Amino acid sequence: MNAPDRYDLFYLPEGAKKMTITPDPKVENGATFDILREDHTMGNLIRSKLLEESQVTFAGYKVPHPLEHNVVLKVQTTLDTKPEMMVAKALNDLITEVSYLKQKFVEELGRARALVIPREQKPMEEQSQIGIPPTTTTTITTTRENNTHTNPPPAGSNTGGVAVDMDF
Amino acid sequence: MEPYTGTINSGGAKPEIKIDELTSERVKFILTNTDLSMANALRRIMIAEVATIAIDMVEFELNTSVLADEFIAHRLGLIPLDSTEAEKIKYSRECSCQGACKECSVELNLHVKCTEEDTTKDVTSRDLVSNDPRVTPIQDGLKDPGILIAKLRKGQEIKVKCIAKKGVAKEHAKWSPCAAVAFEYDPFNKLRHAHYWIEDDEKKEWPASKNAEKDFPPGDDEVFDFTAKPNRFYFEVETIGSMKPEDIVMNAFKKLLEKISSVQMGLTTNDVNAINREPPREF
Repeated sequence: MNAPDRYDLFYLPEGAKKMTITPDPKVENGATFDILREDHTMGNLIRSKLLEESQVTFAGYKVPHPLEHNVVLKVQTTLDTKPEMMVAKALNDLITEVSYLKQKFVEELGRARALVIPREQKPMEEQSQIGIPPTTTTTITTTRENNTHTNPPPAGSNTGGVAVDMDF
Repeated sequence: MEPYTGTINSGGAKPEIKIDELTSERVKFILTNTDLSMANALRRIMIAEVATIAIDMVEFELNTSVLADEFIAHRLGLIPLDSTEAEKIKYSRECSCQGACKECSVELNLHVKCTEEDTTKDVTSRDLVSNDPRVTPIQDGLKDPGILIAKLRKGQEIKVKCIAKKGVAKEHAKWSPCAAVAFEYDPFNKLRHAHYWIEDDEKKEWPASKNAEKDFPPGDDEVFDFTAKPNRFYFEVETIGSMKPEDIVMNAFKKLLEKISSVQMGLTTNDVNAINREPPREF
């Protein structure tokens, strides 16, 4: 029958281009980005990241049809840059931010697991078997701000909740 | 670790995560100094795009129970299978085999016959026999009676072969690792994103949520800040048992990175000459 494959809503068809860029014929430094097989998760994320940039004068996205699993992103920038460059920067920033958050989560997990063990009554090896090595918080805390309201100061660190923020 | 160099959100602070509670079935955490879209992307991915394993095809050899084949097949599909090793299993659409093989699927067999005289026999998830010890129906200790699939009367029999595959909940909700993802921001409604319907007293009729204890209450004469943006998000991720709650979050981060990278690839493969010069379609 003509029913589309169930995975059609996230699986890019063979030979299809993930993204097509179309410069706007009327608006200077405006462009449309057609992104295939993405939804509000990515659309909204990229759009809001673009809007944080002062060089972006417009950024908006839409999902044109609920049965077509594509996102259309419209971007206009100031004349000193190009929409493609701003989108590239936004994506770069997003990767940095998500990687950072992921790293933070791993650190927090190390802290939380240490506290959780008596409650869970499981040995440490069993606790950390999902491929996340026990984190060494001490080395990391000195390079970034020590968030006073979350982590108790790690053993051996002399920061004591004071911001030691030289790299940033 | 590299210092954080991404765009600085919400007044220059770096994003933070703080885990408040971690048990075998749930993780509560607070995500701060990031945008609503980031928190929402994380939530959406945890619900719909973290890969797990679930029964996807059922071959009936024998079914003399009162329940229809498709009814049982549906129930089998919804049984959570241990998916901690889901990363090591391929998607069957990406596998070189035809149909199903060891690389991309797991076979589970179920054969139960009721021989008891005056009671019915319960067919449960514990009767499923997997050919892969990594992927079995989840079980909470030895006392767990398992998930009920059907009840058989004397002489009735079910014999089926199930093929479990890897998938994501975007395709079918049975692949979702989350029972629930609670997501809240601004419990005091300082941003006025919510409009409360009230009869007499807002404070009485809309008691503050538990997360309000961890938030900052508004001052009595605080003026409404219309430029304020949400930057503190309360999550509670509850697993259905197929993977650990913290793994759901970790896999969601990985998946999000993958998604961003795939868009990035799409952008960089668009070399300048290939950019479509035709006028755009109607917006």
